Amino acid sequence: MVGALGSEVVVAAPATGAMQLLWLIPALPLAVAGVNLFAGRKLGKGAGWLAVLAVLSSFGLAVASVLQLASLPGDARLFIQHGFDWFAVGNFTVAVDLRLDTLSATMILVVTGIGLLIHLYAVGYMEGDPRYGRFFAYLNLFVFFMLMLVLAENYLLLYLGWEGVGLCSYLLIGFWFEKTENANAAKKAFVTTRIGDTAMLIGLALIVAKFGTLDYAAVFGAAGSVLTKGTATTIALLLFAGAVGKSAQIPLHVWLPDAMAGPTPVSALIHAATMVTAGVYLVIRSSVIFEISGTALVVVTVIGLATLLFAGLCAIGQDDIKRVLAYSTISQLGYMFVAAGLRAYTAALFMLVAHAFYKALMFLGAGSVMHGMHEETDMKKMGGLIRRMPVTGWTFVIGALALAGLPPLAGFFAKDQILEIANQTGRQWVYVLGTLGAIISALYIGRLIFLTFFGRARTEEAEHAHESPWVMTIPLLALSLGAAFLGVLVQRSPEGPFSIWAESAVGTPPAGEFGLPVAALSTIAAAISVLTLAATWAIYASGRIDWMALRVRLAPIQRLFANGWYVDDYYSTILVAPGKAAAAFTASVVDAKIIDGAMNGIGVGTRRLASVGRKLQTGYVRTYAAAIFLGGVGILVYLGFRI
Amino acid sequence: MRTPIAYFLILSSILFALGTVGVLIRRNALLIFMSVELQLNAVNLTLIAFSRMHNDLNGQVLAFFSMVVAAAEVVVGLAIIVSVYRRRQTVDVDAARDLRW
Amino acid sequence: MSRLLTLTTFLPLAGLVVLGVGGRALKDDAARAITLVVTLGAFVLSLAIIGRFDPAQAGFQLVERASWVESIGLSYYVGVDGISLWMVVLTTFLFPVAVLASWRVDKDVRLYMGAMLLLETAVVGSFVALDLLLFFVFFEAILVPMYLLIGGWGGERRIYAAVKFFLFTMAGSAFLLLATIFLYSRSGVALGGGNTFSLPQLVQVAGTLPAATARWLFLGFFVAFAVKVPIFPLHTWLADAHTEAPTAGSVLLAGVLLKVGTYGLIRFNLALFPEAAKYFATFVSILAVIGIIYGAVCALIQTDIKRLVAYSSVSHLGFVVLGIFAFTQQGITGGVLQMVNHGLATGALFLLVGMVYERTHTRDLGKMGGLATVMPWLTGAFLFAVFASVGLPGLSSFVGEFLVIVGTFGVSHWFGSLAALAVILAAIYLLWSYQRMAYGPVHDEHRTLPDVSLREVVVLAPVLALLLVFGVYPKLLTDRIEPATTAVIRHVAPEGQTTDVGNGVGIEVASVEPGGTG
Repeated sequence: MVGALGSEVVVAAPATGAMQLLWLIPALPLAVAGVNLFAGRKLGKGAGWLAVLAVLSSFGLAVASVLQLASLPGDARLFIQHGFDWFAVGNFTVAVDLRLDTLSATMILVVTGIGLLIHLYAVGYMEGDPRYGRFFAYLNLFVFFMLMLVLAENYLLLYLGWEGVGLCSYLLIGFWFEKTENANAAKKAFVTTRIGDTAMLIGLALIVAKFGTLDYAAVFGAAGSVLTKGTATTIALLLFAGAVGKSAQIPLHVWLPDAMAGPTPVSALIHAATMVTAGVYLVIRSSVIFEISGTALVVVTVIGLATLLFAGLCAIGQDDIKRVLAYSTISQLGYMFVAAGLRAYTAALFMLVAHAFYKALMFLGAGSVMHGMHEETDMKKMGGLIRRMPVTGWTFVIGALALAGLPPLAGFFAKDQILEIANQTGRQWVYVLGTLGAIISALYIGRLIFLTFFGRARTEEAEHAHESPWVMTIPLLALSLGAAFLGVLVQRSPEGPFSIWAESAVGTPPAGEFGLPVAALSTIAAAISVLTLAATWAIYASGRIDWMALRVRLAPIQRLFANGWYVDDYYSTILVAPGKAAAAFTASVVDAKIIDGAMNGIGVGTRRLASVGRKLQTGYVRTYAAAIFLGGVGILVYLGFRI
Repeated sequence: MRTPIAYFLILSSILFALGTVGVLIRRNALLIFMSVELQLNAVNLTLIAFSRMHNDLNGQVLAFFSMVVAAAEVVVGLAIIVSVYRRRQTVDVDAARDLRW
Repeated sequence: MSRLLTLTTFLPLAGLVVLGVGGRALKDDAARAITLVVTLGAFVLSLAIIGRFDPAQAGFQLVERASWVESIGLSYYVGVDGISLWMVVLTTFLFPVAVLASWRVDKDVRLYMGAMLLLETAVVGSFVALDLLLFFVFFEAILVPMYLLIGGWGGERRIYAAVKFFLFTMAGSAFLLLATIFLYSRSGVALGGGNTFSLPQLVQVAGTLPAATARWLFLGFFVAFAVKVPIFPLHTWLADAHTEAPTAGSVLLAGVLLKVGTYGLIRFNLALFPEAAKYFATFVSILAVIGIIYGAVCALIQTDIKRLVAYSSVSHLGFVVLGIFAFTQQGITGGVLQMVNHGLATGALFLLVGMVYERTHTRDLGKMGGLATVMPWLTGAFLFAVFASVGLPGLSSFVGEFLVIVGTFGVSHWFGSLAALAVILAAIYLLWSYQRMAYGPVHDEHRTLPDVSLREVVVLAPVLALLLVFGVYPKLLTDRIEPATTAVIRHVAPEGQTTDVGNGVGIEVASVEPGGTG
């Protein structure tokens, strides 16, 4: 297979129609973010609707541009819009250029489309918040940066978006900053991802050192001749480190569960549908470099698999509905990286889109549940909610079943195709572990829906929960349609219409030559999903098994999973505490005592010398006179000997 | 016949030595002051002696300078001694040793 | 011949004369107003300098030269190139801001304002002087008003801090003076005429010196500027001076005074001793990298917000030095850019710290908390400055930092990578300090604190706006910096070393301009 962009000759499409307005797609949310930031309080509830309008306009423009792009022949689906030179020093220029190809087109549809629904939902969800205008300003700012990230035509502009979404994530996780743990979560998210970002920044510097430019077209065009295998591996792994941070993969996953401290629409938009998928986008975008390396692809697969299993197990142990979803997101992102590592970029991208639908749906559903239950998030205190809030409940179930991989929902096709490619390209270990991951996924999500929506209501509040207003349920319905039908419509097999569409940007999926027939694989996947869901029903909703007793019997494992395998604790003992100690030592011993001590020591030394020397000043006039006399005699004697 | 220069120099040395010893062992500021004058005059004597020996008047001119400066110095010095006396009721130089470490 | 530079330099001194002549008859408000008007006037003049400046030209422009003390070859010789141009403008821009920020100083207002004016003349003079002795005079003149500002209007340990500042800088200057006089004493013989202090002529003189001599002289200059920058391990005066200085003092110290050091490195060390600069490049780069990491690590643990920002300055200035001694187009240009950006970003941080201090009367982060609830705009501005300082793309520091990293990376992967690590540390210490100040529950005694006043908005808005403008469109600066740095590089760069990490391979965009039909 040819690298996705390896042999690409840049032939940009003529700029007509909607494409000329490409720059407006990110610009509109930015402008409205500015307005809401400064005038949000005066606008009152208008702030929310203004933000919705901005994203709606962007969505409209995005649809128009994408339609126009789709009308072009397959190999001509590329459009580059030159904005202005960001900076230019010597021969090194970085321009604000936007790139619309089928990859970025898919991404902007997800960002603006799902973003639109979440904005709409947030209008209802955030009602009455004292910082209502500020919230929408941040949310729109996020949309702007996310769009810059995916539309960028060079790595540095991508990095701008990359850091920008990190900023917005920071602001929104810590949106209710009065509580210290929210503020801590925000800082943890920013710092943890920044570790990856810094590796990525070094990667960018290496790209500049090798290519002299950061433009995709130039880098990917020359990569084959410029890069050795080793250099390609270094660059790819540095970039991947950025992806690991942003997409919360092992070992930088620790920030995402805590990030649930933010308002739920934020969790849906940033920490499920869009920002966390930026890492997957980066790997797909840079596939040329990853493929030259080869080794890097294996690393991507391994990290993805490990995260998939690890986070899935953690999700089983959570009682907080949002934390289940958070770990689930980490785990599902693992699938996407596995797919990317197998060079099945279309499958990864399709998983990304499908996941955006069903996970956003479930987060919004969880928000709706919290809304109806007075901000309660503990699933142990729920149960039977589907009778109280049917729209939320049934749409949530659709999302959950999609995640569990029940045919014919979107998640089934997405997951099945990744496993199919693993099986057929002869990497059975990936297939087996991936299937194990599918079982775990069905397990935790089955547990979630049966504990929350079925069985009997376990508290007074669950008894009296109420359905959310229409602004919140409409987005749920819209997202559930996508979660249900997306796969059937566009991607029933790895060679479906979606792959053909994305082909011009990300290449074709690797052809299968090994393994089981497709029908057999699909049957296995479907059977696993059905059986596991049935098992969870039996445990959590049938009423025949006392799951609390089971939980007590399995307490050590339960605690291990609930605490995310204690990774946070390890980090704080191994990294944070020694780091703090080292910093304290540097500041208060090395700096204050040794270096400043040496500097002050010079002063003290001078003073000591003076305090000895000044004893010569006795104050006795006659001593001075004697000294003068002896001095005079001394000089005379000296002169006498000279002669 | 002229008096040999050595006579003058010996006298001058004796005077200077007396002055020096006076400065070093006396504690009364006035006596120290007088000893200093003795030293100055010893030097003046030398100047004049050499002037005569070399037949050069510059030496005598220098001696006049020296005397004028000495007179001015006496004025300042006595003024200081008087004001020290007024403050401390003593002219013992060992008592006035505030200017030290 | 234009007199713009002289006017800009000495207008503040004229203001000082007015304050002096006015004497006690001047009310405090009048003294403040006069100072503000004078500093604004200097700023307007510096804008005129930008207007007259020809960006296409690399050499010194708006040159004024007059013999001053002929017998020793001292001349009044000033001029600007693309590097000093921005330093002058940054200085004249920050002074009115600092004056406005010290509006509420009410102890000995005339003396305070007089010190500010004297300081401005001295700093601007240092940036425009092209005669070494003239430079030295201005360079030393900086000390006196700064000493007064710290010692007179500072915090509890102000005397200690002021004396420390004075002694450190003085000690460094001694070496500068020695090296200058040595060069001067050789100039007559080398040039076949009277001795001279003129920089362009001394460049020729320095070229005739044996390598070992040049290295010693390099070190003489280097020590003086290293103290000023400050380069590790000569930085310890900075933390104390910053912590104890009044707000305006910290702003100016970080904003412009430190830049005199890095400016001196470029203007004198690189220009006079290119061979020695190459010889010491690795050594200086190592010190710079140590400073970058070390400053950041020390900042991590500080609980005094001013001290924290001071250590962050050590880290950020390390970037500048690293960029300068990479001897690449991107490195030096990035370094100069970073000088401007650090001046603005750290200046803004100190302004904000001062405003918070005026309200809470503490610099201890442990005693703050929850301020975002009571003063959302002030803390919002603070967060903006924090992210500018952290190097968020789109705000000013990022481009400079990135250029330095890229420019250094082309020469040494290790220096570039290690410098990049400071980016993580910066995020940790600045966000942590912000969190302790602004987030969490509010202290009861802070519940009624007022948000920004109109005066404070006027102080902050221009600085914050520039942080954004220079982040989005740094070409405003680089277009004028670049010819000057190119000249520096030509002068200094080793044969055969890459001086430009870019290869100009760019995508042909001419055919796809918006609306084009390519």
